[in-house]
Amino acid sequence: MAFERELVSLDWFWLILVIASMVFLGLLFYRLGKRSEADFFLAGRGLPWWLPASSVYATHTGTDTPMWFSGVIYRSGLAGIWYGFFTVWVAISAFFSTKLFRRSPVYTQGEWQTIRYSGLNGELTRGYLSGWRVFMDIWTVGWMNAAIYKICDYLWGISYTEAFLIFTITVAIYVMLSGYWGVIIADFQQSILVLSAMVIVSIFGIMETGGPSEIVSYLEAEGEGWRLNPFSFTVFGKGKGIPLAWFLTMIFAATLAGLGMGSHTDWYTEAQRIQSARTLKDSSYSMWSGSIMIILRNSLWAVAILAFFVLTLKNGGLLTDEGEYEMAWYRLGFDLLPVGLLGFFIGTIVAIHFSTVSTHLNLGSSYFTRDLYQHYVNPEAPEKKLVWVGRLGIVVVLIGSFFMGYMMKEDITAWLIFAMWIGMAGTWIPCILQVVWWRFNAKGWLAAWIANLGLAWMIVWILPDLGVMPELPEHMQFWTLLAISAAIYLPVTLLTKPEPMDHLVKFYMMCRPYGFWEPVKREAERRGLLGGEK
Amino acid sequence: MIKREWTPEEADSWTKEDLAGFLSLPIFILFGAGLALALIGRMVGFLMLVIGVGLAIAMFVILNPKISAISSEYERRQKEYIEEMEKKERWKR
Repeated sequence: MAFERELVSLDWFWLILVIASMVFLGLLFYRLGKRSEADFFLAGRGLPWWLPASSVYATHTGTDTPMWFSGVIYRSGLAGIWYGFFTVWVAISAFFSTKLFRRSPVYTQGEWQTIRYSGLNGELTRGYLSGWRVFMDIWTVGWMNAAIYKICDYLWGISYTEAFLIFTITVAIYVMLSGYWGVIIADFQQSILVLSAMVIVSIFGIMETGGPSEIVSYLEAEGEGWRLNPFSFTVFGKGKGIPLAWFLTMIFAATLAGLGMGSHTDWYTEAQRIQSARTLKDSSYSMWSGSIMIILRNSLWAVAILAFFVLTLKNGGLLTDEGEYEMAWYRLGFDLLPVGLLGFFIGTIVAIHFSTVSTHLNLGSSYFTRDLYQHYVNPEAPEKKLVWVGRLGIVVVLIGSFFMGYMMKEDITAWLIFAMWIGMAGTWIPCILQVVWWRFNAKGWLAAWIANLGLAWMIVWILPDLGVMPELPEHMQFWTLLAISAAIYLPVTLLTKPEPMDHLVKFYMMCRPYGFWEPVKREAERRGLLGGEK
Repeated sequence: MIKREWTPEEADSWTKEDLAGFLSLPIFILFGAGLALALIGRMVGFLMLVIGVGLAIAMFVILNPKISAISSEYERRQKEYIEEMEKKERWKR
């Protein structure tokens, strides 16, 4: 599989224009970014809802996203859209955990941990989470490096190192200079570019097959009509589509995750957007509207990939190599767009890469600076120094990501599902319990996270490889990890003391959590802190 | 039926109105499946989109007054919270 077209000068013009305008807009905010730590990491906490919303949408659209999404739609038809349904947690969160999180004016989830938990154990939850978060941002930028390399290899046959040097270093420069201001403005621009590219490519793809009616009639004639039904499920291995159990797991997990904080790895990027909005209401609406854009984007993609499926069927049969059909959406653009639009499309792909990488460089750096350096190393550091440490944090994430991407460049989908879902299954419920249950304590949280670190790798990779247990389907891995982890953190929580009541009351008054907080609420009332409320 | 006026104190408590946030789940199912089906020309897809829009409007009508009240009250206190947090962050050993 190789790219057989030549880019003409009009294509190069559009490609360079798109990249230059993103870098230019990023750099334009240099003066604002360096004003203070709050500007470098939260754009001064003054953004209207539509800016974080476009960033939620843009950040959820990485260069790898069309790949794994193409993979599931090509295999499972329209029912594959539910693989992207985990985003619903963002919408549920908009009216639950977002409100709660925004009421504590923290920079990061790490910082929030010390508002929820007290003393040394609280500090341990913050330190652990912050270290893990820096690692996860290195990981995320690493898989973005792997994805852009895959595209560059297809287009121009360039090496992993060359792709990294050209595309990832460029974005790092404007993030280092402008901080989160550069991220958010480039994300806004990118969200418009991507939406335009998606509509254009999808229209070209669908029209190439002969239009929507041709897709429907062709698939039905070939006995593949089930692919047109988003509710086509398999039950106990019978039927076609995706497992019903996976769909139900997704609904359960997405709803529950919206009530908690940190259940999903994307929470940490959204947390930054929540805090950068100018009001609590702007935070909620930005989360909801950003996530609805993602769901609509997925559906548009899905139909375009169905068109690709029909085209491959017409041109000699189904593709069986996952690496090949994962490129479905990109192939539609590369193969079908006319001169000029092709360059615009490639520029958009680079913009997608810029957006996700910029977010995670800045986010990883915020944990590095705020939670590790400022909190533990130099609490008295002046604002100017904190901005410089922020830039250093970006370099740390950047270097780590180069090596991480090398490891992942062959099997992006498997790494993604592991990182987004299974790798966090054991911490799923504790992240919710810490919000909804007063009795859950720092020791329970630490037990869950440390246990999960080992268990996730054992259940998913090591034990099946050693032949000790069979390789489980993804939804079963999720449930298994959920159950084993609970058998560890629940006893730890119940056998150790709750957090001190003074600390819990302070937390309750600031965040007003929902769920099982009656003893704390009663104590707040007894102290006269909730006297005026009925 | 739907409470339109909230004092900041009332809005601070979780009430049955907040449950409307869960409508996001059916709304997203209707939007996701509806748009895909509409794009391949199925009437049921358009119908799902219309129902989804209706549900979304209902959800915001219920939630907006309360969230506006919480938001304005919280913004009043935010400065004080930020000062306290920065003081805590810059502790001296």
